[in-house]
Amino acid sequence: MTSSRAVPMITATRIRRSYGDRAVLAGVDLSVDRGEFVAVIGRSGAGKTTLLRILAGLDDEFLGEVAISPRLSVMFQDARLLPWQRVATNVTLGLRGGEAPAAGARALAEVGLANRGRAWPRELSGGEVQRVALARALVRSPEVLLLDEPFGALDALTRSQMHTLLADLVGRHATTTLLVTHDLNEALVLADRVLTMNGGVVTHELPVPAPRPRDRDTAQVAALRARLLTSLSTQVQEGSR
Amino acid sequence: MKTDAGDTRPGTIGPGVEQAAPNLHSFSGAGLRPRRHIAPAIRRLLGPILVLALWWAAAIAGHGRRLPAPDAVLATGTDLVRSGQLPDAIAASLQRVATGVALGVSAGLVLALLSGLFRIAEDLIDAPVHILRALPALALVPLAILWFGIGELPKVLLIAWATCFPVYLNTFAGIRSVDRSYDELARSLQLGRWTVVRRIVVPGSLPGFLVGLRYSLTLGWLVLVVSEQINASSGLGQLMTEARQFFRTDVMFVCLDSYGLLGWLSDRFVRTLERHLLAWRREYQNR
Repeated sequence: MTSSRAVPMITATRIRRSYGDRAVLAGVDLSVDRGEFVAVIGRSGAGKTTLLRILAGLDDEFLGEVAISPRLSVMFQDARLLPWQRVATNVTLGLRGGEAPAAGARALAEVGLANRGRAWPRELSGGEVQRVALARALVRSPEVLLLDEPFGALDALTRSQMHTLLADLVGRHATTTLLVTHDLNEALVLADRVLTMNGGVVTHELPVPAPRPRDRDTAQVAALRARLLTSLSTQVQEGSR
Repeated sequence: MKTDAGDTRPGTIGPGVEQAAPNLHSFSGAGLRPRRHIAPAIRRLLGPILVLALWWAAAIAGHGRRLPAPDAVLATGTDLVRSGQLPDAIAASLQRVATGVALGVSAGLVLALLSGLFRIAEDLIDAPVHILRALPALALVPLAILWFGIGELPKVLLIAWATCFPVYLNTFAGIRSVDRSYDELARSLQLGRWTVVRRIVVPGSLPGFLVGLRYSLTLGWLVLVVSEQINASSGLGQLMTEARQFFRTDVMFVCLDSYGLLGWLSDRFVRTLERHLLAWRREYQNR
């Protein structure tokens, strides 16, 4: 988390993006250090997903500068598994070489789906689908992991299991992670630092010094949540002005 | 919820008096209903058996002159098989359809892939195909005879022509129906063009292709019948033509039944293909 010498793996400088007349990003600055886990929260339309797509290289119609490790993986809210490929093939999609199947099997084992490689995506539950998507993201040993509301469609219990799994995996691999979410608790349980976005800019920044594994019900996390809520509600007032 | 607030008349009802019971509708479940089990294989045979019975009845009513009875057709069919005429005819017809459909389907598939993958190919191919497919294949028969004579070539080419379009149209639609969000996935995984084609475009358009293949096979038999009627020195069409000259309605029925059977078999073939190739679409309980 706090290494003696912080090396930025993601840097975004004065990012602007507009759709027609509407400015979605109005000058975003962001820096994420190696091994750090940063969450970006904000309401729908705050520009979170647009920012992530720009960082992922999926949108180049922006102004500003991005510096990011080329070894990056993206995980989308809809897992985007190919329905016509078996789970194992989905995981190793695009991997080359003879070790691909073994690497895929390892990744599936890491997400707890060691015996589901032969299944079709259709046969999986929502949580399993996201586990496969996570395995596909991690199998390439990325330096940077970009997550776009990956657990938004899951039920509360499954989501909390996924939080534990994700925290464990990115912690073990020391993966630099940027998570976009609208779930305050998700951000607080997972991130080292939480950024709030509103009106196309980063409005607040809150370090989360709580020890891991975290429980969202401890007094420390509750206090941080209260602070985040305050910062979000002041945004509302600023926004309504 | 209804409360009897109107019942608080002074003097008649004191505190603590029970409320009137609500009017509930009560019912109990019937448990699992016993199901009548007729084996699906037998149920599926009921329709054909009914048709056969009607045919038989009609044949008896007409003394078998216009309409030969099923048993007479079966006897004639057996004779034709014994003499080798029917197997030869079927082999000749089958070969024409197989060659024509193979050519047509390949051409349709290649054109659809080109159109679906390259913008420039779409501009070049798509509009002409839509114009040409409006030409009925049967209207091309005289031209085919003039150009390619009366041998196998015009028949095969006519079948190929007719069967090319359904495959093209459905495969192209299949490629276009592949979800655009997979483009983004492919870019984020840095997939090469070949991997995108092999893992995303081809499997994603397979359902469309198979629909086209099914239409094509049906069309293939249709065009075969017409082209054989007009000119044939072998095959089921030639057998039919001969039968007409000798007023052999029983032989004609053998040929018609053969066409029917072959068409049905080719449909079963595509269905089997679908079952294997589209396994990912079906919900398996366990596997």
